[in-house]
Amino acid sequence: MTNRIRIIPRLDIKGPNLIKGIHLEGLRVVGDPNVFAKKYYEGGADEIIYMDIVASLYGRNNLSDIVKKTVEDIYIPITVGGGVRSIDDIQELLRSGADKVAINTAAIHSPELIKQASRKFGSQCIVLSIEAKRKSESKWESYTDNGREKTGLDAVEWAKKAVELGVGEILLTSIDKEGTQKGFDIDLIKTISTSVPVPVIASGGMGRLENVRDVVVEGKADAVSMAHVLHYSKHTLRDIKKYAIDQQINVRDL
Amino acid sequence: MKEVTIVDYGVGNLKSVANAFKSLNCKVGLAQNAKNILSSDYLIFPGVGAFHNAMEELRQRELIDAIKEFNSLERPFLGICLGLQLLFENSCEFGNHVGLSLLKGSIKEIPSQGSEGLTHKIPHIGWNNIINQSPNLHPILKGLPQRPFFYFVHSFMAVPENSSDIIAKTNYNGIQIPAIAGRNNFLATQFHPEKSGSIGLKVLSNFLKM
Repeated sequence: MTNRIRIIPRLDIKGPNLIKGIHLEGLRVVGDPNVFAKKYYEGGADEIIYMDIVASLYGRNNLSDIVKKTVEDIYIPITVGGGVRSIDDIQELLRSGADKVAINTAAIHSPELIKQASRKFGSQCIVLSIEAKRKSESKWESYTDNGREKTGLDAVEWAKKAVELGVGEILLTSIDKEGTQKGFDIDLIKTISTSVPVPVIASGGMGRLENVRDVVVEGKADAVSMAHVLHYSKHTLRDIKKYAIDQQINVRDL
Repeated sequence: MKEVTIVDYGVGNLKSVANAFKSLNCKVGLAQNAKNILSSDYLIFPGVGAFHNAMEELRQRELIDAIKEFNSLERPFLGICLGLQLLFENSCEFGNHVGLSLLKGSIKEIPSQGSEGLTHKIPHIGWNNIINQSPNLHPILKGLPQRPFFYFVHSFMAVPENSSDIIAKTNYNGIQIPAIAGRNNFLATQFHPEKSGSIGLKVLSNFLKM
């Protein structure tokens, strides 16, 4: 029996709006994040991801208000990320109702933060967010600030190090594939998922149902996140789960 | 209107637990001291994070004796996640630490290999179904589908001394993990009912009938 795969809508947020871009840029407003989150909860999402995708650029964090509102009537886990800089930021998001907090930029600048955070809040609620861009056949570089800033860090090595420091999960976004709807970066997902003992959420590139099979069966993803196909009603969560079950992928049945 | 009290000791996602009970038309209060705990009708003991951290927070707030005393009153009690683990005698998470000892047994790391030698990911994160273990269906499980799904997120698990303290279990690649522990109306779930959709809310509403 394979592990049960989670299907996770990802909602990128800018200000009060749900937005969607390509390669994490070229942003377009989609609607009210709470309305979409509610729809996905009712549609059978296993979790929800909220990412404030400009927070780290402008150094502010308005997500906690949106989170507070969302958790009033959504009873599944919510991972929140974007602009998380300190233990206090994490505390604030958790107290607002987030179950897990995803950290990228601040973790790279100060790996000590993820160590302290996982000791204080538990590994299970500290998610490392990696934005990776392919450099060669089998090398990827970690970026920060939504794929704008190079770090020089090898994404695979960084993932391993962050797990040693205590992160309990990895949200792995391919900058090359994000928003393209051309499928996930299978090599990237597989390389990292088979290198670390913690679950990996694959992100970036979902366009067709077959992409789910590929990223789970070949890419060894533990969870699959998607945005565009859901926001623009190209597929429903029900379609995705039904397809997964047909492909003998173990998902939570609705 | 039923009144539910959540132990607030600086650990855990209280808001989600409170919202879940509010959706069931309860009045929800927070208990920050022994008096609040002892005067409550339905006590909820949530928790996320590390075992020793949580025990330390309880100690500093002088809540340990109150929780033990509440238990002797035989009023409904529900631990959630770390709130289940803390009820046992000890845990090996980051060293050896003493727990509340309201249930016999220890907290151990989830083995990183399943029963067939396949490695699996730790933490155990995601939806898993639970299987009733009590001779008769425990009232907390009433009206649920036969193998209901709940949301789990944990790296450690309870190993109770008495199998009769296991009300339901879940199977993670062959590893049998206690999913609900306790007896009568003294209960704790390893999963998060407040994060398990409508089925989780059903468990909470069953709890309110105790």
